Amino acid sequence: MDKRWIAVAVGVVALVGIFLAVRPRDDADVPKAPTSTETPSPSGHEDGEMTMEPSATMPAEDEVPVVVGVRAGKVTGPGTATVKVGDRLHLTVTSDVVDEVHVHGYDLTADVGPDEPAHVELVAATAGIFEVELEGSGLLLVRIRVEP
Amino acid sequence: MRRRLLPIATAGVLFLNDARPALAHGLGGRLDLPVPRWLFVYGAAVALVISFVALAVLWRSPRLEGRKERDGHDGPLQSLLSSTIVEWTLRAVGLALFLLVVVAALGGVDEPTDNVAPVFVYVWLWVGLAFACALLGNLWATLSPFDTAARLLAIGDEPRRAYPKAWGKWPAALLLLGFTWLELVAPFGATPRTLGVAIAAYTLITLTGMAVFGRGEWNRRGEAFAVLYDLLGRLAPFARDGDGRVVRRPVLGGLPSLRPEPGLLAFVGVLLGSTTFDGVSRTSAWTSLVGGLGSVSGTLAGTAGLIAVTMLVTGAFSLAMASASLVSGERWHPLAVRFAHSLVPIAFAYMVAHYFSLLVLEGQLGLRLVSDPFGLGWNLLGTAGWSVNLGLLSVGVIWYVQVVAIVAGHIGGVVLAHDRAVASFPARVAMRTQYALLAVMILFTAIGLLLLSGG
Repeated sequence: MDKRWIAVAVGVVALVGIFLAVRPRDDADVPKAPTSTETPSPSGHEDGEMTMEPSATMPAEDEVPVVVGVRAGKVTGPGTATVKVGDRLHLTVTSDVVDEVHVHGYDLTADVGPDEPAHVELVAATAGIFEVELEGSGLLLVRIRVEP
Repeated sequence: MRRRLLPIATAGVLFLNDARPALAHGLGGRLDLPVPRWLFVYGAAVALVISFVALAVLWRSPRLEGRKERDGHDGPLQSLLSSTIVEWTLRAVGLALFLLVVVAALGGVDEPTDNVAPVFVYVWLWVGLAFACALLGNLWATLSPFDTAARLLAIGDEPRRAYPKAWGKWPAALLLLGFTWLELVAPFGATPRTLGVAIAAYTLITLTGMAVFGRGEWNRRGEAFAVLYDLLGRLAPFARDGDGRVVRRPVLGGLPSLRPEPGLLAFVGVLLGSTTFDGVSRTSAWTSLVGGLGSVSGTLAGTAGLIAVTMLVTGAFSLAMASASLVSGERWHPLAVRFAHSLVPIAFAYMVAHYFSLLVLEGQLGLRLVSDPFGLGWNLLGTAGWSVNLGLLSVGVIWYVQVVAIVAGHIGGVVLAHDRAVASFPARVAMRTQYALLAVMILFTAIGLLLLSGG
């Protein structure tokens, strides 16, 4: 047999072998398309009102709390908050300057100031990484990482 | 693999009303989830195995080098594709869209997501047209509003000066760097006004270049988009023969006939480097580095980062070529320029991996905005009420597209470099020049995958 075909055959066998070896067995890492039972579908609401609840100041029991503070231009907080699709999230932001908190992708905003912490509640509807920023200064507050 | 796609009209979907410094990350502020570790490991393994199998299996005499395009056949489809009426209809469409974008950018609402200009330029043109050209060939040759305007105004029919040979593609490389800087670094680069001013300046430069050096000359060497879409069009399995008829050719078949000249390596380096920088600037290491900086120093840091990454990428390639030159006995620089074409598939693969989800997801914004291009509340085509569906692509689809693209780009690069090596050197030397090239391509593939899995 031609040496070339042996090389191809060995290569193919190696690739299949590695694939089977590294692939997570229980499919844990492989995302599934979200089903309607997992995702409270907010369709039909253009403005995000559906996920934006009148500002409760305390996280409810079924909500994932995320707390971020801004002081003298420095951010203290988790850096990245990881949640699952369908989770409810309660974001609290305190700041020593007046600005506006902006959750990108969801396009939610809330005012923040020294006397007035911002509270944003949202349902993580789609997988991805969404940045939360202070609008005026462009400071990155936290990244919300929504896993499938 | 086909996954069930469940359209979720994400609540409130998207779109900021602020001036984000970087639109390609910022349009919507959604980032792809990092590729999981097992898929990263597998992608890298595929690249490695393919590389070594390629050394053993690939042809010993050149297949792509020196290939002549066949002549096209005549037929009804052919006469449609090469008809003057169709060509000038497309040119008119290109020019009309250009005018629409300019008017929107300079006169419409100055909000990146209420104005059609930013999404049109940064998503549909920069990403969408790039994908179309890589599939179908250089469409910009017909769609370019600059070329059409110059033809209509008879600009550049008679060049006033001979184009300096030493410039090569340097003007295009510098202008492309300027565009990627505007996209990835510049504060307010995404706002319609900034974009409008940039388009006006670019139009002025382009028409001046064409008037002085001739239209064709400037299109080949100075107009960044003409050079870009020409390079990407060379990946496509279609070309035009000498009489303008459309002919089939092998995928990648147009790249070997690319003329090595000054600035070519720089252009490809900017293309590869800017996409790499886009990946770097999404990592948490980068955001924590520049997070505390103000607007001015943040922009300076971004500028330095963009240039540094571009130089690192070009430097790594040059180093591999220097080591190949030890084997072949040629000087490294001409060698590096001669092999620069093999980086084009890799650069395109980076584009696909980084911007595929941007095109499909954030690109939907354009469908809504064509109904209301200036942000005045119009609904011309009845699409103004459409919302962007972020659920259109599942995370898994995005991951597989990314990894497949990077690996396919790697294969394309290896094949092109191999073909040129066996065409340029005696068989034994050719094999030995391959090691360095393979090493650098594996390095680029690994970096590409690493950035995708980094988060």
